[in-house]
Amino acid sequence: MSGSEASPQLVAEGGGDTTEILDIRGISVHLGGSVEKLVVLPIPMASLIIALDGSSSRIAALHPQAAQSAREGLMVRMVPEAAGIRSDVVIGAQFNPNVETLLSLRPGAVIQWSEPEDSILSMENAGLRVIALQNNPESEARNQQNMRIVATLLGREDRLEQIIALHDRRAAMLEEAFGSLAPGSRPKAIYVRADNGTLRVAGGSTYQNFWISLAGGRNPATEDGLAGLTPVSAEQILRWDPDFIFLSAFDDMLPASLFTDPVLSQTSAARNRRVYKMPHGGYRWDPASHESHLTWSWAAQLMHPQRSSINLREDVRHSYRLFYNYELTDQDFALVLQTTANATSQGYAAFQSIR
Amino acid sequence: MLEAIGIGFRRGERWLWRDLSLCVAAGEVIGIIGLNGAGKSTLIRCLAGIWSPVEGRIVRPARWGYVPQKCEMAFDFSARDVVSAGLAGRKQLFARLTRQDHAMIAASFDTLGIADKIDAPFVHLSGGEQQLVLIARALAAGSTHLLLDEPLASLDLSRQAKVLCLLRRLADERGMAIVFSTHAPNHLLAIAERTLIIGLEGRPEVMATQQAITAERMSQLYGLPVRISESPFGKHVLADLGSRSMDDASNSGVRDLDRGVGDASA
Amino acid sequence: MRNRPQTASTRLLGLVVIAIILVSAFLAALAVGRVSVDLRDVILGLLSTGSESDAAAIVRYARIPRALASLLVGACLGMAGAVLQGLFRNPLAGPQTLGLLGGAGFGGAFAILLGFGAVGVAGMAFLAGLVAIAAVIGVARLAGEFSVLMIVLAGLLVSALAGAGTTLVQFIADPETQLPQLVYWLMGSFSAVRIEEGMALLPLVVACGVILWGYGLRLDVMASGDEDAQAIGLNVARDRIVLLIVVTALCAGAVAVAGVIGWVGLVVPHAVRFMLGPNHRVLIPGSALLGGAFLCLVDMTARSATVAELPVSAITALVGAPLFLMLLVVHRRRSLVGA
Repeated sequence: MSGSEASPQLVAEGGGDTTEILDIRGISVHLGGSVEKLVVLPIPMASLIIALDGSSSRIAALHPQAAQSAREGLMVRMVPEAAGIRSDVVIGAQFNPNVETLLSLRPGAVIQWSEPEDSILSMENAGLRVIALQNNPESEARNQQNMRIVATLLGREDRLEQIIALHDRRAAMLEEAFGSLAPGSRPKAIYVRADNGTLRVAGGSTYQNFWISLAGGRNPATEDGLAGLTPVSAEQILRWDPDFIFLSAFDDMLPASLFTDPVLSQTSAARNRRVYKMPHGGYRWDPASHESHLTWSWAAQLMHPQRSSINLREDVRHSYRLFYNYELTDQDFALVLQTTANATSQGYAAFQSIR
Repeated sequence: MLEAIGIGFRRGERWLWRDLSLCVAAGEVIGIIGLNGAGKSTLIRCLAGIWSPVEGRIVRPARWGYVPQKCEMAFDFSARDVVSAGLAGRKQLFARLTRQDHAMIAASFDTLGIADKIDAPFVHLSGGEQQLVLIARALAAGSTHLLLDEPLASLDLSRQAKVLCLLRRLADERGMAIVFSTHAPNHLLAIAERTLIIGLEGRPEVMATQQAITAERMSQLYGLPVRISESPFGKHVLADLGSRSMDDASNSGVRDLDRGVGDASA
Repeated sequence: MRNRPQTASTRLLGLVVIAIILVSAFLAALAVGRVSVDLRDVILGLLSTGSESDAAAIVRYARIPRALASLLVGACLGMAGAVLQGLFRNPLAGPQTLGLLGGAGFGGAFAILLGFGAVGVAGMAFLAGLVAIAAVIGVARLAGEFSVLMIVLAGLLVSALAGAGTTLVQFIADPETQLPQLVYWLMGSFSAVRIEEGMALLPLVVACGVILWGYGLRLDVMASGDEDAQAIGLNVARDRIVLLIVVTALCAGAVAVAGVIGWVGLVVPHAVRFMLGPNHRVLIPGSALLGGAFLCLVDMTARSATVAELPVSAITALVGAPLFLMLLVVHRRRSLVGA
């Protein structure tokens, strides 16, 4: 257990009598013995549980979005049974729990985002044990905090240490390579989500802003005072004139459409074909997850191809072996990296070549 | 010609009036009188086609003009706009007002003697002036029949006289047929050839004003002693305010009579 | 009365002035944005293919679609408000206060949820708008009165119901793919507007505008009371239905393109009445022109004032509310001054 005061602690470990977990709210949640059945609502956490546990057997139910992502991404190949887990535990498409269904499942605990509070209250009032995690972690520290809580819950702290070690090592390496880069030497990079024509850019306090910086870039949106995901006009993006544009894996926009868009094609990023679609592995690489060290590496490789000694294919292979006990094929790798979408983008061939 | 045959109107279970027949010819003035709530307005509205009688039928002329008691207006339309509206109703969708239309509008303002108010905002005019504008509206539209709902109610003595004379002249000189309702029997004595009394027992009948307005009938209607007296100005209805019936509920009857053109004796 | 144009030619001149304001607003919207362009680029972007220079491309592809759409949506809302106010004889009537925008918004949101395309969204918005306005009339009829107050209350009620429905749609919407777009659209936004939408809206605005203008004289009559209108010879019920259908079509078009934008339909007709008088033959085109100019400038501000895109509804409320108050005060002062 690490020494930060907000980290989860196993307060009392009995011979299966009670365990106590401190969640992100700082609330001690008492659990009857080790947890065998979990309902996990935060979407990326399902694949984390699989990574920590080595299987999805302890997941009684997950969010429908996670189920869909599992089917569409690599997860369906890596852990086939994950795609069949029931997901009818939310009302609507957000994070409102269907308390009745949850009760019928009799889970040992339910993992949920800490906000909005109401969704947690309704479950606690029904007698369910709820472990809350931080929504939209804005930094790696937060990401690790979330992961620790889940690992403690599963009793897989040792596995987590391996993941954390991977993250910390890679973070240290990137810090060393780019930490001292002056803003002037950093390329301008933005992360964009396009929802049916409305463009939103990640500003400060987002995980994307964190890894753009870590990977040696600078985010003009943050410099202009934006925070969170904010709608901006195409003209504003042009005004920033980013050198790199990372397109969210959540939407349909392709780099090719930016190259032909009359306005956005004027950006340096589009002119140099440095527009990239984010990868989709065990889960989408945009938000914070256990696979995030791969995200940072991917971004660093693209933004600083000369200075980076990363072999991304090896990293992914190694990680997925560790996480999912899965041997990554070249085909899989191409799928994860969305090479089809990124076919016309600059520098993507570097991922294909064998080093 | 405007004709009503056996019409009746009912509010819930209560009949306001029933089996009423009425016929107005060119050049004729008919007055309608009754207590508050007796159904005068309702009758005028039925004749104007705004409401339908529960029984009977009405034959209407091609151009009849309805003059309401007042006009609810939310915006700053001018008097001219109000009168133009009368013409607008008969026009096709995209038609505009012709020079002839505008001439008719101007003429109607002249006829009513309010030509100087033609461009004033309607809501800024006094009650009496507004009433005249509403009459002008019916005239400008070329109506042959006028149906007026208590046109004299908000007018001062001088204006009342003016309007009464005007109505009579319209009947005599232009051959218009006029039906109007009022509270004051003296108005009827002044200009109406025939009168309809609503609210008395039995079937309402239109009869010659001289026959209709009798001391007996008026006492019956208003519930207090009434006299008909003659003066150089004509016949008048006078209420005896000194009677005991001051104490009962027909106080309003007294006030109505007071509004007549003439004197009420103290 | 001072300041009140009386002759037809004065009113026409007033309309011309407003038209000039509109053209100026449109050109300003083309010239202003987060990126500086010069006049030459504006002209090139407007008249040519926009491939001559980067700046011309910005004008043509980033600004013209939005300027055109906001202009037309403003015209829709302005005309709708003018007609609703005349039809209900109610200075507080407007597409938003009568629940029409809320209803159309719910219909459109529902269509987005179901994954319908642009035509489906517009169609559902139209149907929902019809239901909303029918509900408002129904509620007022149930209550037994069509007073100014009752109509506004009924509108509030229908708005609240539509709002609840829309909240439900947001609840069910996919949080990753549908929800953000839905929320932003419901707030009112031209950020995702394409030139085709503006081009589709143009014939609607023209056709509806012509029809409404044709009813101009009749609206003047109706504005002085249903009873009078009927007695004057109008088939009020039928005319009202036609007018409401046309108004709903305009609002549905506006909502389908840009979401729910309030205050325009309420304030613009009052401003035009203030300048040119209440006759609908002038009020309707005036409201279209001024509404277009207003919303065009609002969208220009929304996309240019700050780094982030501002929601259009917030700006129309910020500007519209004080403007409405000002008009109220001046109107009161005028009424007190007398003829």
